[in-house]
Amino acid sequence: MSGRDDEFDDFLARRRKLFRRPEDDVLEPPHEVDRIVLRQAREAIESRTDEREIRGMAWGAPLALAASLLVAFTIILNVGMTKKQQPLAAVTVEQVAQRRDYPPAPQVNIPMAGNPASQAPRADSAAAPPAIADRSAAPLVAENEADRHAPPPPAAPQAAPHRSAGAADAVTAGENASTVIVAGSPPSEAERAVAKGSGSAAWRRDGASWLAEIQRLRAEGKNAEADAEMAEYKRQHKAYAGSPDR
Amino acid sequence: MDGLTTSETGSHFAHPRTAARRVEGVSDDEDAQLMLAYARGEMRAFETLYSRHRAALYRYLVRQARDTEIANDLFQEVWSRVIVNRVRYEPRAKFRTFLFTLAHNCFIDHCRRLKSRPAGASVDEADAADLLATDDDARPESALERAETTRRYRAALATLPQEQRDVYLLHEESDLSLEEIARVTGVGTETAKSRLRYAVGKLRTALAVEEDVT
Repeated sequence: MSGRDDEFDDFLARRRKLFRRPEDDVLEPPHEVDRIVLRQAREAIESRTDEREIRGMAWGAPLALAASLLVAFTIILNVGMTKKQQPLAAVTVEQVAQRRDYPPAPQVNIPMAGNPASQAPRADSAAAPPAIADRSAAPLVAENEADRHAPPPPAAPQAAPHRSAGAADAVTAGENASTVIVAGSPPSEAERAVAKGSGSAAWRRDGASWLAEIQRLRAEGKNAEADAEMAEYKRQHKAYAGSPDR
Repeated sequence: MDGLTTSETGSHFAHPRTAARRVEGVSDDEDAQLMLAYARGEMRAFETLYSRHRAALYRYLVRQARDTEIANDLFQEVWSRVIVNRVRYEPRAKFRTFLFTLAHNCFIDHCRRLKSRPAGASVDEADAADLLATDDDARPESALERAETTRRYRAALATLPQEQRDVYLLHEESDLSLEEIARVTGVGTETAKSRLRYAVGKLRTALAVEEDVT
């Protein structure tokens, strides 16, 4: 038995073959099978290449679609924003003449060296807080009847210009068309009348009519009202007020 | 087979004996590298790999199935699995082990499909070239005697249990070690060694008895 074990060990170690094939052993797969296997192998790697290409295209198509949608969405959004930012309509005379209230600004008292009176605090200015009024504080033209009968805004009393004689010197040299710094007593009746009627008088829309109305007031002896209208007219028509012949 | 190159006809493959000698000298790492190269798309690498292992694999399958038609089908199936699994292939073991594992599994699947196969089924005469290496192999034999020896060998092989025949053929055809055979067949090394010992003993006994009878 030990001899067989030795043989088996030799067999395992390939030191000795129990059986051997002859030199003319021709047992091998048919050529047809070889062709089939090799063709299959070739087709496999070729189809693999095709799959990669198709996979790349399949991956790129959604990406291209997503990019196109993103660009289109961006364009649409941009166009919509641009439309929203466009002005509503052309500016009309009525729109320009509409009353607009501006926020109050602090009064600035500039001491003037050549005018001691201006340096001293004024009693009336201390009594009445300074008010800011723009040129449209008294609306010039009513847009419609609703505006005409509408109650004045809360800021209107403060914004009403005060053009008393004592307050005339309070108007600073830097007064411009939009802001007038006024300090003093409440407005006179004539000015209130002007302010009250400024929004309703149709003749104020035309300069010639306005001037004719002023002349009519002077003819009737209503000089105060005529002066107030004239002042308002000058304020509205700066070219007229600033012309060298005036 | 129009459109096939001469390399596909199989004519460039070396004689099995020559190929077997060459396989013994080929490093398994080289086989693994060839497989990886094929996975990258190099057809030439597969052709080299195929030429190295085709004959041994075919003999294993023919002697397992004992039918060349079945062996041809199994042979194609094994290589198909090699081709399909090329991307997932990792050189953890010898390529030869990987190849014969696929072959073993293919044959097991075939047996399961057939459920059972009558022992001693017809043996194709096309592969009747194996001879028994006897002590007197130096003695000149006639073709008739060699054919008779081959017949007896095949008959003895066919009487082996499936597991023993499997281990024996793997040892004979694949040149795998016992550890590798155990891995291919999914058993322990000692189990594989025991099966191989039984198979060799039965073959020797059967051939000796027949020789005595004749």
